[in-house]
Amino acid sequence: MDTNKVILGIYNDPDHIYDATKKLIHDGYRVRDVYSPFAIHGMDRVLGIKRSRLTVAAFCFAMTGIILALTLQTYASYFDWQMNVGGKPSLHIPTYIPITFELAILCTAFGMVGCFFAVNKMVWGKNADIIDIRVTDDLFVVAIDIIPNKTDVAELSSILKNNGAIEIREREFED
Amino acid sequence: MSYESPIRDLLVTGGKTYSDITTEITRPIENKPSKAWWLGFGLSTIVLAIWIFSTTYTMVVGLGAWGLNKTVGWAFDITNFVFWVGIGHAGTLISAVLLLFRQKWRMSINRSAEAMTIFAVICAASFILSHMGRPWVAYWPIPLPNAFGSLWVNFNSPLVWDVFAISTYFSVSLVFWYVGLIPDIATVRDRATSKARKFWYGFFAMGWNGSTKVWHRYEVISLILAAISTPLVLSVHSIVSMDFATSLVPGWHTTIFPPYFVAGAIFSGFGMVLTLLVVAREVLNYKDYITSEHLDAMCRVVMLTGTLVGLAYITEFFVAAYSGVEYEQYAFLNRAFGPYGWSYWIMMGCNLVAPQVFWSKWARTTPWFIFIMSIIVNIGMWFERFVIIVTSLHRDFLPSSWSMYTPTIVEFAILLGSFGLFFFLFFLFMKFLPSINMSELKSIVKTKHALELEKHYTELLNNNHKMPQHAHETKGDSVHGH
Amino acid sequence: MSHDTHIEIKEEKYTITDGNKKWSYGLMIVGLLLTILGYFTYHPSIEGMNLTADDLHHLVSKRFWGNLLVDSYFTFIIATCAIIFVVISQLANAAWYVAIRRIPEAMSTYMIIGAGLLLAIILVNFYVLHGGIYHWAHPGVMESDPLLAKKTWYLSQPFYLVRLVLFTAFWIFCAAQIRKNSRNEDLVGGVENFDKNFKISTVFLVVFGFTFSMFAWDLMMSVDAHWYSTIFTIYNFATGWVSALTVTYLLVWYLRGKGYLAIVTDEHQHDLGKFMFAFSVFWTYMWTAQFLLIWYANIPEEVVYYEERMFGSYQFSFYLNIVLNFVVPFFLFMMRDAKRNRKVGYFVGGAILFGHWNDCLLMVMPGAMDLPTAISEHNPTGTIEIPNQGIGFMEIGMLLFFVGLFLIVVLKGLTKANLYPTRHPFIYESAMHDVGV
Repeated sequence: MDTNKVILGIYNDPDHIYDATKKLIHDGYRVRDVYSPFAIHGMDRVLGIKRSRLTVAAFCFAMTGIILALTLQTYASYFDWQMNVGGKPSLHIPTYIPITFELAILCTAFGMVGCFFAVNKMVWGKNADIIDIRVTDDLFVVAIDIIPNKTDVAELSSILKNNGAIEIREREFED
Repeated sequence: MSYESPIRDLLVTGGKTYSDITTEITRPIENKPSKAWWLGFGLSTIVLAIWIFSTTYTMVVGLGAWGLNKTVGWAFDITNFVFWVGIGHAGTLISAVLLLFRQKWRMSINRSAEAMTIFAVICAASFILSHMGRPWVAYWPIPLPNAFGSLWVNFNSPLVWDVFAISTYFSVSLVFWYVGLIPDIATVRDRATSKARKFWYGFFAMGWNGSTKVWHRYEVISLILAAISTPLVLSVHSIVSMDFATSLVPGWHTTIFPPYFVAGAIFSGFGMVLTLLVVAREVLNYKDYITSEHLDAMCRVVMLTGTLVGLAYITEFFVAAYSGVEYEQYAFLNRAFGPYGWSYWIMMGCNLVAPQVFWSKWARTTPWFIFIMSIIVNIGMWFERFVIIVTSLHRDFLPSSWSMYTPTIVEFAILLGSFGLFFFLFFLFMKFLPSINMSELKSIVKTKHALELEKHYTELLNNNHKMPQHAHETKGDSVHGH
Repeated sequence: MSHDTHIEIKEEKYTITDGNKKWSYGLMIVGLLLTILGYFTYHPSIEGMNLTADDLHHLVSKRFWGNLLVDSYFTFIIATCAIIFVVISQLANAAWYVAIRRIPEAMSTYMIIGAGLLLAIILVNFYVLHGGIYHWAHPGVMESDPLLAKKTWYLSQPFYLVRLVLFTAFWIFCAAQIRKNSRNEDLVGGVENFDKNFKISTVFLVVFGFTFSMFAWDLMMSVDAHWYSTIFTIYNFATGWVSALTVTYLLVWYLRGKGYLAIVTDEHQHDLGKFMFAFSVFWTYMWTAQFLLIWYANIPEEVVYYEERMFGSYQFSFYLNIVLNFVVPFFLFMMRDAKRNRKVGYFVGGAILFGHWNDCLLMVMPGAMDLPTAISEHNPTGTIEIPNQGIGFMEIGMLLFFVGLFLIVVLKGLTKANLYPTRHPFIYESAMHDVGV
């Protein structure tokens, strides 16, 4: 980031901020992010966010779970200590299905949610850098980078205003 | 907010704005609890005390405090276990399956249903622990290298599968629930006035800031969690059913058990969700969020799953007759007309017959009636498990070991007490966490633009018949009335 | 996205091309020829047994009628489950499916032909072949077989036929009503027809739930008359349901490729693909539930069913079943882009359909292909199992014939109404359908 100054356009209607962001991006402004109390449908595509690779992570965790479960069961019930219960064979592949399935799900859920927290840098007790406190209630905020000597703040403000912004202000990020 | 057909009923009534939703749903958290809450909480604490006392009594005296005998070695405790696990299924069904099927009415009820899931699984687990007799060695079913040589658990045993299934189910449900809660916890954090609330909700909000990038990933993992929870929820009750179905006991060993247990679990879970929500919407005044449309939809699910369960009962009965195997035939005749026949007819009446009243719109939208029906469903599903377990066991292959089972007062006390545990946790949840998913609900509030679209397309739909319809000109007798 | 869509609902009609006719009739003719070839080249032999000319005649006839039953049943349940898809979507107030709804509706026009074929097959087997592939229907068997003697109250030929006719007639009637109301809606608009269809759907679904059970027991399970499984119906339903979704998915790709279905997008295709994926897993769940429980309990009279299929000459089909119906859709359709890709879609769709056809084959053929003998202590069921002849000319020929027949009937069905409803209350919502993340 060559700048840490942003201009914030604050909206009270998700459709207004959607149209505004679309226009801003079309006009070549650098939109840092959009903050909202709920996921605005299609906003991720407007911002050009690539589809998250968490799905790939989920698949890898599922495979890990499967391998883990199969290793555990075959090792314990076949290689390490065979037991004869009701005459059933020790290497009893179909009965491994339930536990393998459960462990696959368990690993996927925990692994993927762990990745989700990691990639968002979310951690218990983290102090949130909240762009505007009302963004978890009823307002929608678009943050546009102010690039020195390039961004025309006045024009930017008028675009925001024309699209129904109820408030416009500047803010600095600490990073 | 995207376009929706105008014939759909509103899922949030009363013209709520985003901030109305925030204010009204965080109200119980931010204010002192009402008298009704104290009353409920107090009552459930007393019942919880009964649970603590009776469970402790069982631990001290041993399982001899229960009415089990050589033939009927599983009875009340396993009935209660299956009952509670079943209750738990509605939460995941609502949050996962209905998410995948894009049923938006789930949004007002998924939070409390998921909470219910978690508490119900806790109750179920308590029965597993107490029926072991020696709960301090409850870690034995976990496959750990141990001090008794190289003995491992028996991976061929469905009981071991159950250990994995229930613990996976509990932890994944908890994770799913928590992930769903984060945005709402952040909302409470940002409104908090007291220091303690700021700290604790801030702690659990994990620095949530509402960024679109985060929302995108959040939607992706919600979808995957839903996608893996759906087979999980099916697997859990299937594995519970395999505790019975892998055996050779007539009445237990039948291949329909897995799907039939799942249908029954959803049925009983929805029964419990209705019990809770019909009351909660009155007490917390959430009628604009949990509208009669929601009740209607839930009642339809109850009717559908009740009928499915009924279909399974009839299938079992029919196939037993068809099989030509005397053991099977006897097991089912004994169920219906044997010494425990009364419990079979309670089960049939409550699960197959009673839900048919929901064919009537009035029944589906009248809260007090739904409340009574939901209790009936709960009773019916408890008896279903009782019927399956006790009637199949008390008539052994050897007539010399035939016996009857009578529960003791301790067993009744534990059953009653488990409701105390459940409601105790549920009341705490209602006080400290937003009991409706605010962020999801906000996404279905109709915006101006959505209303304009609705108007525009309704006009188009109504005008379509003015378009030239060459294809239909030959059908002179068709309806061209207007 | 809702913000910038401009949707135009136009009336689209499908016209059957010469290519359609050439392919459908071509497949039927080739199939017929292959079947005839298979019929005359089939010479079974059993080790240590001298088969008489009469035996040989029995076997070739059983193979023929068994195959005919498999294909008629398979196509019929596809057509039936297609209308059930419409019914369930209607009851769930779903919107996304509205744009493609006319395709399953058209598929259901095949029901009457399928039901007619089934009835004909059963009649011929019962009254011309003296039982044919249904061992229990052979004269004298019900009386002499101690187990089957207990089933006479249910397995009787007239009762069987009454059930078959009543059930299929009712389903065909409901399907026709639904199609009629759906077409009327294009003319008059409003919600009147929508409401009518809602009511019919409710009744249809409830009745279907109970009657399909007996339908599957009768046609499929009674082939192995000694054996029983309570999950059998749901298992069969899963087979039909996932196949119906797959056919719909493939037809939507085909029609879009020809420039039809203007309002249908990759989003709809994606959702159908998701359904195929999900219900392939669902089918696997049913398969596992039946297999695991029977295999685990190891009760002789039950486990014999899998004994025949897992270890003898059906072994290949048995494992192929799991590969095509679970492994292929699960791994290939897991990725989002795969469901939106025509080529992958055709491949997976083809695999699923072939897999479920194989599944039906596996349900019927081991039970149907046997030679009746005297009941003895050594052979309590009174039959000798005949080794499978694999998937030969007759199987493939019959399959091709039915593919051709099904296609031409469904394509003709498509011409009878607009390709998508123009005035369904949810049509705009469906046109704007967006899968999301």
